[in-house]
Amino acid sequence: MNKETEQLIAELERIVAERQDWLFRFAYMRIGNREDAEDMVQEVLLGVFRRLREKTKVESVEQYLIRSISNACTDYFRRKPLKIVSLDKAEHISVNENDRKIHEEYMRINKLLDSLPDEQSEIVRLKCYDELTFKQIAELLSIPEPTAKSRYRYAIMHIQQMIKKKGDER
Amino acid sequence: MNNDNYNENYNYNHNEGFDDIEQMLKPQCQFKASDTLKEEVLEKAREEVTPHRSVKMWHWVAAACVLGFVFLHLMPPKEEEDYNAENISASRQLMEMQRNVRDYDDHDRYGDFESIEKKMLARSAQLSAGIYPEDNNY
Repeated sequence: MNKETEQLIAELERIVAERQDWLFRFAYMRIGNREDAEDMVQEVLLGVFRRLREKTKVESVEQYLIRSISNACTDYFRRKPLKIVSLDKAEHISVNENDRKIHEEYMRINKLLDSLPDEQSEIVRLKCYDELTFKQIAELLSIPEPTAKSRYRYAIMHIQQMIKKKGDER
Repeated sequence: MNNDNYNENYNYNHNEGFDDIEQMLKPQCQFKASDTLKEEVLEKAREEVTPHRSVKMWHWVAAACVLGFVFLHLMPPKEEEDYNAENISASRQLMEMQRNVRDYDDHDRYGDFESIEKKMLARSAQLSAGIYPEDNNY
């Protein structure tokens, strides 16, 4: 390998070390499956590498990663039908403690966002869970920034009312 | 990914409930990708940059195997060759014998056939009697 290639590999290693957990969390919170989420993360990281190698202008690696993982999640649902595992078979699926925790987290957030329209729930995920700014969210979803902010506000208010209603029912 | 969120939230979140909901929606556990993920990505990246042979060899190897098979199939069987060799050898021997016979016809050198035959019979009788001529001309 020549020097330039070694530098590219080193750059990829740095990106992987910094971003792999964030990318994994982003993918897992949308698809709920470790194996598929990690496959997705691999594809996204290799995509970045190919762009860097081809010297395609990458304005921001961060921006590219966000867009890539978001598109990958969208494509995932388009390609794969939902797997339904019967309860008796589910018992035999071995899950370690860490996987159990992250899956409970996935279920918890989905439960909170379940009653929201898709466009609002996605903004809430991007803002609270993925810690993006409204500017980044607006760029990603191709909507104006004020629209992103207002959808977010309505979503939070809706969740607040829902929790209050449940509390009153008890 | 971006930690500078406080100023953005300050304009909107006038009630504590809002903050509570936001807090509830933040990650409550750590998400870690598998330890092997990094190595797999780097391995695949290195694989992509490793130069591979530009000319595919297997086509030529397959063609060579087919030609070899055809050549072996079309070659004559070994028995025919041996038969031919034997024929050639026998022909040569016959020619040699004929030449020798012609040579025996050279009276100046060997005499006629009958005299040669007599000599040979005489020699044969001596040898049978245990007499070995001194000239050693068997």
